[in-house]
Amino acid sequence: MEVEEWVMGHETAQNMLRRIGPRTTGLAPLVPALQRIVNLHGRHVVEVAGASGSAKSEFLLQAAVKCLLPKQGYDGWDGGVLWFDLDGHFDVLRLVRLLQAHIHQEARRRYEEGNEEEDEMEDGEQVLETCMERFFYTRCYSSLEFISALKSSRNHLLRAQTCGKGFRILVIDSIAAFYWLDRSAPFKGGAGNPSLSLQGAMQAVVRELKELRKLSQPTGLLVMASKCNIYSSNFSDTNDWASGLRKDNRQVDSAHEKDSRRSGLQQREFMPAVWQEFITHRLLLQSKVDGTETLFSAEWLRPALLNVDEFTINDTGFMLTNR
Amino acid sequence: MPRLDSPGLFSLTPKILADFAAEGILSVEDFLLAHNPNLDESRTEARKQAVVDILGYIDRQSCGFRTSARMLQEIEARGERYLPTGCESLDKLLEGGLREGTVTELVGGSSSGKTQVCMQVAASVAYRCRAMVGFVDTCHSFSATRLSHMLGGLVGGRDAVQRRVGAADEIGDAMKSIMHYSIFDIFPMLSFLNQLHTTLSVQVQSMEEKVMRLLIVDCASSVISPILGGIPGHALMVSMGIILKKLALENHLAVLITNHTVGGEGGHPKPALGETWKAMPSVRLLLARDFSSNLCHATVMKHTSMACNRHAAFQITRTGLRPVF
Repeated sequence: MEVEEWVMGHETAQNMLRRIGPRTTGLAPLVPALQRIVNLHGRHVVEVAGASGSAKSEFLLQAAVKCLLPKQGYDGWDGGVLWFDLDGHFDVLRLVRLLQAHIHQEARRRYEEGNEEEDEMEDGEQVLETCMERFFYTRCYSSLEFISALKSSRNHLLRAQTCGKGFRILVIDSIAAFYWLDRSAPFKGGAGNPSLSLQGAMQAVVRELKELRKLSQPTGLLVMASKCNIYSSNFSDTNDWASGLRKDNRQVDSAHEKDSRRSGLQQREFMPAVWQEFITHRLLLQSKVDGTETLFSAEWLRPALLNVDEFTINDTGFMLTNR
Repeated sequence: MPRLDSPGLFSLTPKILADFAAEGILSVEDFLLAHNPNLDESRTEARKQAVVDILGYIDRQSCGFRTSARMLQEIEARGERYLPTGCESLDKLLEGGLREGTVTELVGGSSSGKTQVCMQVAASVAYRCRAMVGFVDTCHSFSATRLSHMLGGLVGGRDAVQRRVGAADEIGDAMKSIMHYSIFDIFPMLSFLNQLHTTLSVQVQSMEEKVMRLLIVDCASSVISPILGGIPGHALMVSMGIILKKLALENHLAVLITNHTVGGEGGHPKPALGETWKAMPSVRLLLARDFSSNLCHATVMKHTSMACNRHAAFQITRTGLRPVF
């Protein structure tokens, strides 16, 4: 009997697609410019890595704005956002500015199509208000505070779900903020004893995130974390602000160096294994100074896409510059 | 993090506490880090209640979540967010001045004007905003005489004869609101910053007393670079960064720190203290002095909500910084 059961399987592929399809397909990309191939949905964990000043927090903010906006007209996810600020760099005025830019763009598009003019203003205000009410923010100054905040966010999650609008995204900015503090914490030792070392703290964080994801069925909870580089790269740092002046020296580099720089191998991985196994997608962002302009480049490391996108940033999103 | 029996939760009877202790959980910290899968699906009602109570206690202790709508309301209720630097070209570069709740870092080689900018900002905030200023001096570069010249420049009039009546009093008042601290080592620095945070957090604000709105640490890198090297050094550096950010965000201060430069690749100087410190400030300004034209140039190296590489220039004169457009 067991062998027969094992051979017959639990469900057909068609049934499975019917079961999980509605919550994974049909979702608009959060940051359209960078997601032409990679589609993110509720069961993914995205890590955005890069040096300081390479637009990681900007990426997370744009994704959060897209998530807050309603489906109609804005192509948003119409869900709540939980933002854990471990860096202290969040600026609520910038969030308001981004939301207003999207709303104005939509209003202008509707006006050009010749639709209703008068309700637009109130509609815009209402949309802004509902979006602002769905964005939950907290600040943490240590790993323990972070874990406590994750534990206490369970109530918020359950409450939001009963109201109808559940949380769709959980943002952590940035996950490596307490790396040095946790590494220097004394290890209490013993296999069964929990201790505030880097491994212990990360294990607890991953556990809490998995628990929160379990509570957010069926839509799932997309986890996005930014990670700042702790170690500077061995090769010449392309994020050095004066690197634009040294372009002439660059041509002497060998092809091998160019390749490894592009594939991001020079970024030293310092997060513990439990975190590395938890993430499903990795995006590498870099910035380059070109005269007075800053150009950003993005590369998906997991899934490993070989092309590097270059883009600039304005209030309505990331704009790809044609290469 | 306290022991489990100290919050005085009723459902934590001695029997349940003994249960937890058998699993190695003696404090709230252990509870948070425990990887016992049975912790949440508890066996008995009493234990379930105990877990719920502990989670409630943790909830109350944590900062809690705020919606962005409420954050916006709080900011609008507080009012003035930008502190004038005293030099119009710098104000224009920073789009208003030093912003409350942010940490601004001035990076520059020696004699590039960092301390001059710090003193000018201190004078401007003390005089124009009528607020207290904390000046932490780690490299013995603070000069009260120079500060009085700068205040004289702000008050107006070229010398004592031309100044209006009462100007001397105003200068005296402003100088009284600038508190100077000499700290030369990392541990007294951390202790001082923590104490400042505690004092400002419990202070009840009265209408007549001036409130502290600016903290200057000149020069932050001179207390950090001697201890850098290895894990404990980096941990102390990160701790200092965290307490500075806490002071900025929780106590609504604008924090201004200075940093020196070290040699980078190709001979171009780069900011000291490495990659980890790069992520700490919200705004980074690079100062460079052009001795041939006697101008100082400030460039925005990093900003969390604005484009970078914008430029401003000013001149250092007897009465302070003079903007050059």
